[in-house]
Amino acid sequence: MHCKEVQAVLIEYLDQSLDAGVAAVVARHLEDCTACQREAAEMRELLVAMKNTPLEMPTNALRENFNTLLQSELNMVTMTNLLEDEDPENAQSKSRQRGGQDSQEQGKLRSLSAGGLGSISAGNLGGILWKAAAAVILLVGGAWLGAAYQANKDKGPNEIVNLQKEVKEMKQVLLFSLIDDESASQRIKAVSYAEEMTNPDQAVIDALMNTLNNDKNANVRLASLYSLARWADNRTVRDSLVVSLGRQTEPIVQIVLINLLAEKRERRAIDPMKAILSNGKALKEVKEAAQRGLKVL
Amino acid sequence: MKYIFSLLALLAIVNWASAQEFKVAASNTKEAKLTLQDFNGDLPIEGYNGNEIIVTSTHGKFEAPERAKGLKPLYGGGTDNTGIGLFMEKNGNAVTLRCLVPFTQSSGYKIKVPENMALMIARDCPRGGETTVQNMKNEIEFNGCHEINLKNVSGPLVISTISGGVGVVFSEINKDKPTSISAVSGEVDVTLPAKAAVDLEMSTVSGNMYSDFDIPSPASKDMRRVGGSGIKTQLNGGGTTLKLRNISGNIYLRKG
Repeated sequence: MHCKEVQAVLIEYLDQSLDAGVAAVVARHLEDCTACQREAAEMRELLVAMKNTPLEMPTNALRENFNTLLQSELNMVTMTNLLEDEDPENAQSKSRQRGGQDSQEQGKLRSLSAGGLGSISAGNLGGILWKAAAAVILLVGGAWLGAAYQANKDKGPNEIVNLQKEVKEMKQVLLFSLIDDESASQRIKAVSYAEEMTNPDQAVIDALMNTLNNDKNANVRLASLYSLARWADNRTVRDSLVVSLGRQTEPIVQIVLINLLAEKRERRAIDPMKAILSNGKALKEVKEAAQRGLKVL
Repeated sequence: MKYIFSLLALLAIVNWASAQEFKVAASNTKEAKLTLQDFNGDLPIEGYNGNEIIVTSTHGKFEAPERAKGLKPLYGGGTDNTGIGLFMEKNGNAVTLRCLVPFTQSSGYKIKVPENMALMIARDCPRGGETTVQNMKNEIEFNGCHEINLKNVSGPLVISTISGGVGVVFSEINKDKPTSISAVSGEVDVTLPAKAAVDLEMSTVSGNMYSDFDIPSPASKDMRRVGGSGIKTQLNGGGTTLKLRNISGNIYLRKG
């Protein structure tokens, strides 16, 4: 036996899991070869060290935290799924389409399981029992899902409104928890939660306005402006945007704001735009945007 | 004659190269953060696998004259506690370096940073010069005025500049936190790994956009509301948010 071969089986040898013949050969080789002896000694040390290392156990808190995290993630997923399925605006047309598909699929399911039961006598009983059990589980599960789906449909708009409310609240909580984060990237994430809201509370609008006017990062302000732009037809939002144009210091935000207000034909933006034009410190690009805006208005 | 000039130039370089250095210990972790404020001139920053922030002054005079023996150098912006015109403040995991040398005087620095630290750079318009960052693995925030180029970074990046361009070559893209890049008159040039999964938003008011990624057409009308042209779509199934915005410059999005 060569050193290489011996060293390849050293672990098993030290672990005493090698068969006697091979073990004897290895033992003989070890008596003569100092290199392999050294290798074996090192390996033994390592194995002992590994055996003596106490097993790391996660604390209870970790498990609990993970469970809460998992549960909240699951809740979130079910809720968004439900909402996507049951958005009241297009629920009717969707459920009409669904109805057709469902009856087709149920038909398929039934015919498949009938085939499975019919072939019991043919094959190995143990396997068939498993298959039958699986089929029953599938059938019952399917029926339960169908019933749950139906029940959900029957529960009507009330349930859906409640769910929507909860999701909206959750997004708000996330938004408020991140909007003062030290990381600019996290603040952008916070602002983007608002993009998914259709009908935001005043508190959300106020928070976004505060970010638009005071955040120390231009990208965060810009993200906030893009979110607010979706509600620019709302009176209070529009008023605040006009005020913001007069206070805004970030050039890129100024330009996007000018374009937005010009597109909305907001005549009250004329004064702040004129102020920008006569401001010696304003950037060339901002002035050009203001000029274009004034032409439109 | 030519040789004498090049010899002189070489001597000058050698003279500058007798640079001074300042080191401060920092933890090479995602929780640690380095803030750089008011640096002048070109600013090359490089991430490395180590536990020290190493600032080298590449030019600028910090050897005190004989008369100043026993006296501390003073600046309008604060006290130099590094010996190279910087004010250093350490607060737990956070290190702040502020350049005290006024922009009317010449100074230049290059900085080596533990690669896992977050980086925040703030540079006003009068403090000219290009910023370059490479080999960093955490969030980089840049609020500046001139050119910035980043290579071998994973983000998230939150970058805004006014009169310079932004060049980024991503090594990979952070899967969790959004990246947002905005410029006013420079060009935005971003190279992403071909398989990067991102929710992409790009828009420019009076520039153009170019890419070799497959962008479905028409991507979305959603971005038109603020004027100019915009695209909102998903690459490779979607994932992290990537926002690229420009006013008068072009946007280039390349496959890496």
